Amino acid sequence: MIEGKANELPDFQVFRTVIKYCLFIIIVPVLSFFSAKTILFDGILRLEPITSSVYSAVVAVIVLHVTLGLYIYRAYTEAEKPEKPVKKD
Amino acid sequence: MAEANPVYGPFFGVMGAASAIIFSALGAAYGTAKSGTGIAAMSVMRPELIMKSIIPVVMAGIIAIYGLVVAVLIAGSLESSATYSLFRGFIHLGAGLAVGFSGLAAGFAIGIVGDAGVRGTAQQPRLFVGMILILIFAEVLGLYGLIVAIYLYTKQ
Repeated sequence: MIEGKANELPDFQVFRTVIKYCLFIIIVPVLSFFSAKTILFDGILRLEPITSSVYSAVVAVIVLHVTLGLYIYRAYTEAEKPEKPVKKD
Repeated sequence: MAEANPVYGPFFGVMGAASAIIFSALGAAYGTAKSGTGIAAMSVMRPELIMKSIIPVVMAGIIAIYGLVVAVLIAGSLESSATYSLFRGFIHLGAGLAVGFSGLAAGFAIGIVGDAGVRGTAQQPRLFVGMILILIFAEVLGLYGLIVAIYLYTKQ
């Protein structure tokens, strides 16, 4: 067994977490750009095309940084868990 | 032909949209590749740190999203030369170059910092906080370019 393997998540679980967050980071800002533009700024507030594009770009960038912050928080707390006591014979 | 609406006016806008995404993607590709070599070298001995060390790659990807946002904004307001003044073409070219070259610079910084930071984190885990801070400061350089580009874009 490789050293340090004892207090590590299984490979598949790490892969699933990383894929989940990467898709989250890529898809959510794009969705928020277009949904903010069509629903909120064009639909409800009825802004000019350029103003609504700019506001939805700002919304998308803010959402992007929130998702990045969530990933950094997840990665940071990953290793902070207390290590399991390793049994020695 | 009106002097303010020459037939080559949209050329500048198209070049602005293209340069926004081309140069941002160039910086993001360099950042991904450079920090990817660091991750590959580090993971051989410390595979449990992969989740932490993906962060420079994600940040390099965000640089490309900045370029994508500006390119989509510019492409959305391109029109035929009858209604598209030369001034708007210049504005769009300037916006595209602003976010493009800022993204190129930020991508280079993220690549170099990510490479060294990931290798260092494998040996001293307390370096992780420092690496994240330096990466955020490199990332913000691209954000400044995005802010200037959006500010330019709103000038009509």
